[in-house]
Amino acid sequence: MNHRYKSHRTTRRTFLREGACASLGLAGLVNALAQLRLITAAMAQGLSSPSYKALVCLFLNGGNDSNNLLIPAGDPASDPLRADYERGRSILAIPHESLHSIAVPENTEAFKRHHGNLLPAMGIHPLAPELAGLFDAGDLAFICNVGTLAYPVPSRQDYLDRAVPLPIQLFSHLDQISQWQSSVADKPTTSGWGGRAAELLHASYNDPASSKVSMSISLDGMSSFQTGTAGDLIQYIVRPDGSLSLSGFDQFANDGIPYDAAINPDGSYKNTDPGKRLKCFDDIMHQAHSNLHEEAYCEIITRARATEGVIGAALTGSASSGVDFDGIFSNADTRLGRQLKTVAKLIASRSILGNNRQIFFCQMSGYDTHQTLLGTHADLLQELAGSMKAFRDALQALGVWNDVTTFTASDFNRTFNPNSTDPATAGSDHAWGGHAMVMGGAVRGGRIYGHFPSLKTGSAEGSVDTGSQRGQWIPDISVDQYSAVLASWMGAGSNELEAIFPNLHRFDDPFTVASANMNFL
Amino acid sequence: MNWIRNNRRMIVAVASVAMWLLWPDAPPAPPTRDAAIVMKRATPRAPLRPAPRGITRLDVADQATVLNAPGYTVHDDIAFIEFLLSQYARHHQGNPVGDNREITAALLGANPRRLAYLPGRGPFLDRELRLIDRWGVPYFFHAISAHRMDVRSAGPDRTMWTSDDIVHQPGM
Repeated sequence: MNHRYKSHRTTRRTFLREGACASLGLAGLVNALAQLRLITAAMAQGLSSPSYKALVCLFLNGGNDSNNLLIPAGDPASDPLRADYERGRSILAIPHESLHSIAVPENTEAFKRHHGNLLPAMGIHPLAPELAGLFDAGDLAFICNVGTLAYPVPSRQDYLDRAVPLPIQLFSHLDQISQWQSSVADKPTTSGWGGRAAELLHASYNDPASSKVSMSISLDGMSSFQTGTAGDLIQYIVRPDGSLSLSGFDQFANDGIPYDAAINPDGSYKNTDPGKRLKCFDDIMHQAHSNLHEEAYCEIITRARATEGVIGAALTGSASSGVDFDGIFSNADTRLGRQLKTVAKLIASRSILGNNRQIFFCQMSGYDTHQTLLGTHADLLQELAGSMKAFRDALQALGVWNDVTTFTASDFNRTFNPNSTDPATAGSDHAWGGHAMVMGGAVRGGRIYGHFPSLKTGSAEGSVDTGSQRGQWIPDISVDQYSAVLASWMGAGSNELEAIFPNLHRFDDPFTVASANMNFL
Repeated sequence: MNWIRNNRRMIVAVASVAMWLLWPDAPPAPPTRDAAIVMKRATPRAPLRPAPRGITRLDVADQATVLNAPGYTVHDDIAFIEFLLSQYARHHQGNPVGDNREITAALLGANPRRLAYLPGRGPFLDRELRLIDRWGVPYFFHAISAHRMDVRSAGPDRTMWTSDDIVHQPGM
């Protein structure tokens, strides 16, 4: 044998030795998520029945201008932060007299990084008084300057020099939505952090025998947030008025009473055309099929029909809680309000759904306010604030206020400077770090977390603006850090957190973790 | 002791296999010139091209004379800008990011591969090196995704977000 060839050949002995090591090492690493799921499931066998917890994501689609949500409220003559606000926001500034003041605790850390010992007066948008009330009641907290990050960006100069890798396609809607929902900012990712968390939490906290429906429920169509990695925990989509049912079997479409043209109240098929068609369809679905594709299709349809029945029973059964959902949400009969009312009803009937852990996804669109920001944004915040307050009231009435945490997320914040000189039409454009809100009985509310950014733009001293000169704040807190606190509250341990948030360790510098100011749960 | 005596053959066999596995390999012979060639061929790599010091102006930059030129329309201008963006996206796995100033800078060569898609002068640039329309107003770039960018001109009234704006929405 040629020596040249032989010297680079893997010997049988080397193969056996390295193969044994690989089977113990690499394979385990590759399948970390699947293995963790099995481990946590096995550990859960020894636990007593875990308490109920639910996470509710409110996604503000389009990029919420949070510069006009949590606002410096002092006198510009004596408050430098308010002066910077009025100077930078210009015609988009909200008059400080119209803001709803909030009580900022004296030991607030959120202003120290960028504003020294200043403890400025803060206020909430005039049309969102409910948020100020929730904050002052200790039910809601703000997390300042959160955004997508691939690595920490320590300074503006580091951004300008491209000293650290940045999130891919900053300022683009779809990419930033994907990165907020996946918590992976430096590469395309097919799963969301909610989906990855659900895969692990379902294994450890939910009993497969009693679980009747997926623990991931979306109220606004498919979301990448709830997409998992394995495909065996599929998000279930519910409309605000109930399950998605098969079309063509209703007397009146979208009246909330599905199949009333085909099925009698006792469950038997009606002797009508829709009744005969539905019976025929159900018979076909219950037949055995030799073709694997046909068999899988029938299985999915049969499972969807069964889940539909469970959701229907849960929504109907929520009435037995004695809570007047319609009354509580009477001032929040909006797109988001209707979604949250359905979530409240499903939580009320959690025993029917059979899960100890649930993750809900709700969404509000319209935040891409390139024009008429002042008017449009006011309407959006009014809807958001009213819906969140009604949801709080419903959860308190149900006695699950401490068990449900609601959080907001959005594509990005918007530019601090306006894009026009006409107050009637001016808007703001795509930016980066912004303020998020977290609400719930477990939240250490009435506080401001993260770090409130400097409101100086361009190259002014202390500025955390990008190169745009228009006020695109470089985030102090990564989506990973923000989301990890939420997942941790849901029960994810340190090993699970590493699997759910693969980049979290990049923000785990002992010199910065303590100053992250993120102990909101 | 009886157990050892009865299983003597098995113990010897197991020990032999263990020694065979754990015995250190003979040190590899130093690679000959031929062997080095084989290794190189066996692991082909893309040639590492150092980043150019200067900016490489692409042929497409010469076609930018159509921008804001008589005989063409604003629709032609926007279509050409979209073409430039598509070229950029092909070379950089996505559109340039940022506002008009940053996107224009990227098209002028401030990008990782130092490729210029536009000449540094022309009636399509203002003093702040922003891409402007034929009425002298900077375009607005609305980033939808890595490969979709809406390009908006303020139109003849020179005011953005009014009814005479001209906007192309690729893929819509």
